[in-house]
Amino acid sequence: MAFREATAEYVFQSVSGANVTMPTAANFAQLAPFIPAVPSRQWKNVSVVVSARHHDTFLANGSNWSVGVTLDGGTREWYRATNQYFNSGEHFWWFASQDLTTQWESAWSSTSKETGTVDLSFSFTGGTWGMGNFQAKLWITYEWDDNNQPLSGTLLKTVKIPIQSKTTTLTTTAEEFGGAGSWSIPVLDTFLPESGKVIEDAWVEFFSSDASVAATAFGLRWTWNGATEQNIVAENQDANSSLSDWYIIKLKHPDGTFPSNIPPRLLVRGSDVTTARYNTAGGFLGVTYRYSASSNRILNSLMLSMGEHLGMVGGDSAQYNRLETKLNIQEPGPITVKNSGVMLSLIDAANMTTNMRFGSENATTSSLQSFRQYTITAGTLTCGNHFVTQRVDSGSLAGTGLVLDRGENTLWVDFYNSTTIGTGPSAIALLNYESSCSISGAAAHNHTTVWLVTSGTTTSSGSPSIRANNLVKVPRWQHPPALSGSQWFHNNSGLWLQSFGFFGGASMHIDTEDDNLANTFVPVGSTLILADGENSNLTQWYSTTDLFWRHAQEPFTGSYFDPRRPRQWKIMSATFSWHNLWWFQTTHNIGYPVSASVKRYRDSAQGIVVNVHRQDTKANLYRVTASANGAYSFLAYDNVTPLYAHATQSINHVGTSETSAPSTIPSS
Amino acid sequence: MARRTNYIEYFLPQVTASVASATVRAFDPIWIMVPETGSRNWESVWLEFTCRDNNAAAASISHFQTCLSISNGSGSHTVAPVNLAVGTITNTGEHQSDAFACNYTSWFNSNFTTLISERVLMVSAAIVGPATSNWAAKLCMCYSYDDTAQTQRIKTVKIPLESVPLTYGTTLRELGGVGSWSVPLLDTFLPEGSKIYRDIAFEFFNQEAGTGTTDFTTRCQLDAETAQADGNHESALNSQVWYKRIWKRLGTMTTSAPHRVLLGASAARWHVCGGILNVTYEYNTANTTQTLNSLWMPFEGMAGSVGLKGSWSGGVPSYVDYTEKKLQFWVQEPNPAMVNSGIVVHWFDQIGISRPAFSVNGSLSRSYDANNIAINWGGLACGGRSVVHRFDSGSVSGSVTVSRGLNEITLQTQILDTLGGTPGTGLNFSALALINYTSGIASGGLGTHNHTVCCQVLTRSSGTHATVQGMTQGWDGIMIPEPRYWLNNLGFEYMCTHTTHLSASIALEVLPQSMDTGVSGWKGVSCQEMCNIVNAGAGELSLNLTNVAATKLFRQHPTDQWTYPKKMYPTGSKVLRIYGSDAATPWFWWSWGKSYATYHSIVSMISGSVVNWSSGDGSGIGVEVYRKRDNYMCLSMSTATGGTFGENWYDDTEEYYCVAIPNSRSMGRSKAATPS
Repeated sequence: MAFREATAEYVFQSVSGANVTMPTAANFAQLAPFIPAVPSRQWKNVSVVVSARHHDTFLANGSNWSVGVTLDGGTREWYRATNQYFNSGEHFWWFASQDLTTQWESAWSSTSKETGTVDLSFSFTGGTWGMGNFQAKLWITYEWDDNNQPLSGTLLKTVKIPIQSKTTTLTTTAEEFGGAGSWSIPVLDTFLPESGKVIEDAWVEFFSSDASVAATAFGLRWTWNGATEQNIVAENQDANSSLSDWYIIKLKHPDGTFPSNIPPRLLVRGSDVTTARYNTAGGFLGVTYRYSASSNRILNSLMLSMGEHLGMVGGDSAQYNRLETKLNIQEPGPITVKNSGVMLSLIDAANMTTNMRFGSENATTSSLQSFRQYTITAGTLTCGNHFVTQRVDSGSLAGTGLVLDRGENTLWVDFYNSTTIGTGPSAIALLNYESSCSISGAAAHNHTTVWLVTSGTTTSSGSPSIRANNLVKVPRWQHPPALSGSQWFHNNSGLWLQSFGFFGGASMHIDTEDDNLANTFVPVGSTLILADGENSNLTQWYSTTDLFWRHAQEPFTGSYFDPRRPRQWKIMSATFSWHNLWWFQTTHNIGYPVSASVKRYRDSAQGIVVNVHRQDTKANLYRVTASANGAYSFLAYDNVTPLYAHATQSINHVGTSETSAPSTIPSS
Repeated sequence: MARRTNYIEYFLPQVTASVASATVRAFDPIWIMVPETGSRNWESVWLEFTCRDNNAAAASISHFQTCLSISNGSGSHTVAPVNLAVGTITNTGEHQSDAFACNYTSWFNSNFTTLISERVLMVSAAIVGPATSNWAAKLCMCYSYDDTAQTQRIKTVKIPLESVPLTYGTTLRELGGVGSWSVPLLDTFLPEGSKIYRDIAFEFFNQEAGTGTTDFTTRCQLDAETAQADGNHESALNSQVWYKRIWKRLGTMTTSAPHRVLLGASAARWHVCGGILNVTYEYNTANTTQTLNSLWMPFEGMAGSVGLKGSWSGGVPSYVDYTEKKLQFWVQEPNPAMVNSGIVVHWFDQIGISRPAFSVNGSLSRSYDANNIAINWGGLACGGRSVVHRFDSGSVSGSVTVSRGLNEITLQTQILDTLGGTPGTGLNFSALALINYTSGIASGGLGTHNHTVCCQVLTRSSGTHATVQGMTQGWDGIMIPEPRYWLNNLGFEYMCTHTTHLSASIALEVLPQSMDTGVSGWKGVSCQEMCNIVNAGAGELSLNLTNVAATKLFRQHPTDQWTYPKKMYPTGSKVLRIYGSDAATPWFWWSWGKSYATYHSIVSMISGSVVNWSSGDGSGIGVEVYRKRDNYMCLSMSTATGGTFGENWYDDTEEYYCVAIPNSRSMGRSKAATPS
């Protein structure tokens, strides 16, 4: 058995042309996702996230939201939450996430099923106000035995290609998204190196924030590859609210058109008002495509948590914040960096001048960008966080920051504001690199999976209320990470916390269970926040990389938590708030069986403990026991970094091996 | 010469009288003695001052000043420049407590020179704002000295006095419970030879409890003596402030017998209060074969959420859980034995009922609340809350011990709700451990023992404040003059005066400097809520104390380098930054910030010889030393001619092994053994 996991993303065509008066449901166009069929396929975590913007002069408190899902034309399943939303006199985005795994398991029970249909509706009750610009995305995480090749010989993946933020606000003149001449959206036929490609979905996720200074509606417009300009419905600004923006622009329409063989261009602009409104607009291109499992070259696309900083941003180039993580690459070379970036989230009610750079190093080389400056203009009332996306590959205007090689790579992002202002900073990296295909299969490569932890909503059965004392105890994961196989290396993991609340000056805290102490919670991360005292959206990315087992054979289970264990999380902020929480992890399944033997033992070697260390950091990675003839074996997850082994039979019988890297071929 | 550090405290008798606004009032003078005169250098000297308002109407403070002087008891006083803080602390229509700290380090270096071992200390103060009463002040003194110059020493030990989970009223209650005899027989409890008591003072602190507009006083009593009241607690505004009482008993408490400590008040307005007995005494190392090691260490774990036991709605308990904080420390002194030890816990809450429970090492638990809604914590909290919980074998709920080697204390905190309604909502729990253990004397002398040194690290902010506010100040790092040290704990305590608006928070950060190679960018220490959850609109002016460890950010010994991520040196300059955020303004003022550093300099030798090398004279062979318990690499060194090697290490209780690496294909490993 060679268990593999993947997360495929599909987006719905946004319901952007209509302003729907709640509680009338907004109905999305039907989606028909494709997932490769394979005999052993199991659904691990399937979820949907729906967002919609308040779009009315009338402001009232809401009481329920409902997500309706129909699979393959069957019975509509309504998911309802009954927690009440309080407006603060401002417009708002509402985010609703929902676990669909059980429903999905029923509709897609046949492992030979490759396609199906999804119909989706959303409504909000409690008032008769208008909502608009509905958008939604599916996250489908599944597992299969890679020894049973997919029936079609096809694998599926979603890649995220970052698009550089503009350093100021968008104007009303259309300009290329990502910067003039940046060709942020590559020619996919050649950019994606695999063979047998079929693009199943493609879209742009646009991350920005408003800089609204007047009660005048405005909206986003875009021109895709020379076609007619399209737009979201101009958003009501009667309340003059500056929201945190996340738009989905679906590029592959139901008619199937997508220009994958020419350099496509995406032009964007603000509309309806002469003053620019969208701050530091950036984001990424998402592409879900199938490809041949026997491809020679593979694009590895990862979403890594860079972590969070608990304090302020600032305050000059000598006093920057640094977020850091590591990435171990084991795919066969040559390793070629492709379009990559880092996305920073931060919040403040005032104007900010944010400076950011990215750096990396490995055993052979290092690189560091120059700081690139962004001007973030505060609106009259800030109702959410800001985003800045910066390219870090050689195509970046800040210079090359990302170099990658096989083995361990250290990645960091530095940032500061020109004055000490700005709070709640956190970041993710969207990395893409090309490699040859591992003998263990393309699905064993580094990959990122996404798991919905909680929709953060109250059910009607009296389970924990989010608003009670502002402390959310997330129920144990209904569909926790499986990592069913015995061969995985945990490279990186993090939490994507999407919150809605009255974050005047509240701090945010995440705790999780201590595996080794019953009913006891330990801190994961904290951040200080300052925003206008308005109910608003806040996106934060917390790192959990150092919490969890480093690999499937972790010897120090008392020091690290088991990522497969169903666990509870706590979210605390001293304010009324609603939360969606996802966990995302990057793992690879490339292992190197190592066999060796203890020599010159006394009598029998049975039970001799062998500890295997990294030569450079001395970290103790593996622990095994020898058999009677001294033989021992373990599975290494890195054949670049030299290792050595200590064997201990008794106080007087000990030995140390020479240092070398595993030289065996990866196991399947 | 062997330079060491020491930290002591001297307490001023509490000024119980009411002092009108803009009126200078002096504390009764005290003698301060510091016998270590050899090459002494004052590293940090400051005055900590708290008071309670005694005004029927709310008033804002605009100025605070202290004046300090010393004399030899007969001549004229040498007067320090007036220490003046200007900046309005805006009242919120309630009574208030206030806290200030004034630094005198450079003045002491100029005026309390190495020729001086004792002086009379006089302190006076004035506040422009409300009339105030119950002034409490102590002089905090950190210094380095030559350990070889003389045998006369002084130290301050802190003995925890356990809170009683009941309200204190006109019937006085004994701390720790009836028959607890919280004050040990000091003459034997303190095992050093040739003791001379220089100060004995109690500190009691907690939020005032209950409701009412009738003024009251708190009362303290030893054994069967007559209870002693403090000054008036004006209550016209029916506010529950955090309050600290200093009860100085030098010369008025026998040290040849244990004592019961009883607390009460003229009304049921003092609740679950505990305290600390501070004893400062001289002794002579030449006559000392046993010592009391008194350590003060903040727990790890950022201030965040707290475990809840109780219901979210409907009064049906739905879960039981805890929030965890840990403390690790190594003990190297011979024959350690834990005596009166515990934790001082501070938290913040605005709801009426807050019933915390503490479990230590998984089993020793106790909760602190009267469990009586009629005598709850008060209706309008204007300050944090505090509890002292003992866990040594002589306490109500404890039997924690200490042993040579690694010690770990796990604290689990929980809010109980047995009232069938809204569960407790405590925020920002932080804990300071007071660990006391007796031991023999290490071969390097008493100066090498574990000890805690405190330094003032942030001075008070002043002026008006914006919604995001705070300060960035240089920090010299902790003072460790010894070339070899093992840092057990490094943490911070900060006292804030703040307004408890809905959603407010504070963060503390450290910025490494150039000496901290490989460490870049601000490093977070703590981030905490300071908000008013329930009384969302009230936003009352409050005092709140926080203790938090930052040990994991720093190297534990001078050559600690095999860790990821890289750590800062605890010594050497850094930058500290503390910031608050709130949607309202003004709301946040600094009162004081200080560092706690606990370390020892007891070393053992790890040495040996590499044998059977293949060529050369045996020199230059790399040797690495590992701790067997976790295969942590401790030391890296090279052999001398003949293959010999040796280096000092900081523990002789664990097994270690050595690996010799002449080249990439020749390696040898020793058996594991404890250092000698």
